[in-house]
Amino acid sequence: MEKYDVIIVGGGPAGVTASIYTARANLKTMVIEKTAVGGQIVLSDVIENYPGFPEPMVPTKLLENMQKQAENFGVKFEFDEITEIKKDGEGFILKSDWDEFYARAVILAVGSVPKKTNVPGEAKFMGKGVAFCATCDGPFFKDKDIVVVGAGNSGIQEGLFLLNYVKSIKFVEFLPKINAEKILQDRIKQKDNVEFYLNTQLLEIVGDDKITGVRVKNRETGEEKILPAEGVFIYIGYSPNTKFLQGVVELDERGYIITNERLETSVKGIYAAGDVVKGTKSQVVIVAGSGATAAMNLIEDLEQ
Amino acid sequence: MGLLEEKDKQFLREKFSKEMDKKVKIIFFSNELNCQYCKEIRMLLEEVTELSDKIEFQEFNFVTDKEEAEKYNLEDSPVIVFLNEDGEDTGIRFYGIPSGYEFTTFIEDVVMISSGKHQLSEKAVEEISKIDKPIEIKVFVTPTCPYCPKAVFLAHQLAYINKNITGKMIESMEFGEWAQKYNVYGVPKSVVNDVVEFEGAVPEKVFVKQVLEAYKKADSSLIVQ
Repeated sequence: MEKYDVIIVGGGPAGVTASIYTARANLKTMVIEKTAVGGQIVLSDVIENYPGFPEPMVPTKLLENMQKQAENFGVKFEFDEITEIKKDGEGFILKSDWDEFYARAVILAVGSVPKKTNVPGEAKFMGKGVAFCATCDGPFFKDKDIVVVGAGNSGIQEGLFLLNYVKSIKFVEFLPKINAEKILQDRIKQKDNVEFYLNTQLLEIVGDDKITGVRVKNRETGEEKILPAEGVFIYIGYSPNTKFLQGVVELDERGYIITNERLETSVKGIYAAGDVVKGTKSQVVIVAGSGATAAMNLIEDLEQ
Repeated sequence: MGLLEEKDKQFLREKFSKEMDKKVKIIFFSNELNCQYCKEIRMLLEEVTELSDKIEFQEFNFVTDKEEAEKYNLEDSPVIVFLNEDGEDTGIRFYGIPSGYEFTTFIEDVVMISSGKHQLSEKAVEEISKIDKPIEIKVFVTPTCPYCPKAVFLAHQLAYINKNITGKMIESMEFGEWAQKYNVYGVPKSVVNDVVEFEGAVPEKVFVKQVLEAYKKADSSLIVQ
């Protein structure tokens, strides 16, 4: 079994930043990522609010650079999905389906995944018209009318990107107002092929073989209607990737990891970083700082 | 103007010289009609070929060089085929341009074939080595999909370690009819022997299990016949 000083679970900006710090402290460090280095930020088409980069930048480029930087300091990147973590003497054993790793200390930077609506029709049309990744699946909806569920930062930003392909967007938002950065609101309001259905609840995604529309209800008047659409993109927030951590570290009722201000979890030797930590906002600049904080505290504790 | 920036070329030159061992031969089947990106694919392959003397590149016409195309059971074009140093087919295919995120997969493939180093676990290799019947894995992608390379590279690695397996990246926009036939509206979407299909960049074990599932079905269909 391969032994490390530090294993970081999750290769988003929080995990990769943490790895840069631990590797620079001469701790043998590995980052384990289950899908693609970058985490959920690579779903965005552009990042404009990371300080120091005045031009809009492709998130993967930023993450590629972070990874290169980490590798320069000796961090190993492994693609695997950790399914179990258990105490072993002074350290921990991390298991995937077919592998086992040992670490003296662990940083959980597992992030979060887009939330599903769980309305009827969503599961049926998953990957067949229901989508979560605008950059991946946008091209399939060229010149089509679509619905974007959620008018928060993600919904509006991805909607702006989808307008490169689609004919029109109807935004369906549960809350009575658009809840996105003002600069994004201004941009979307300049588009004429966009409609907003605020204070509106999504009830169902309808269609036989293909999506033909969504059934919604106005929360004020109670009126129900069908909005015609051939595709539905869902941006209603995130939920933490912590199913495999139940019973390992303390989680709150929504599944976020509870830590102290040093980002220590309820288990000594296990730290958490990034937006999986209760109360942490999903912004690259914030989670990178969180990764650094967890790493610095871990280094202090290991050196004691 | 070239497709690759000088900075990237330098990075690749160093990567190739550090990590490559044996020669790799890239064959490109173009067609004159109805090929949106043939010019770009040719340019890209020429530029990559220049970065290492261990990479060879040859182009055929899918229609007029029919005999060549039949050697590799190619259904359509544009398509890229990878051969190893001994001229053996690796089973690795790119239907459509390996651009965007898939360019990384393309480079990983070159290095894997040349160095003989893949990233599969021992267990995966053990399971996949048992396959003794033809398996075809199609992975539908778009070049702007950050999760797709993972699925494509898995398919390509399985093809690399077992000669019975063909791993095909399919660019869904260029091969719109295929995408429609397989009802692709989200990527990555993988289809194995047309009997098993699944969506998403799944972990290695799940991917391998799906391939084994298709293999079992290939088995039982033989018994029925």
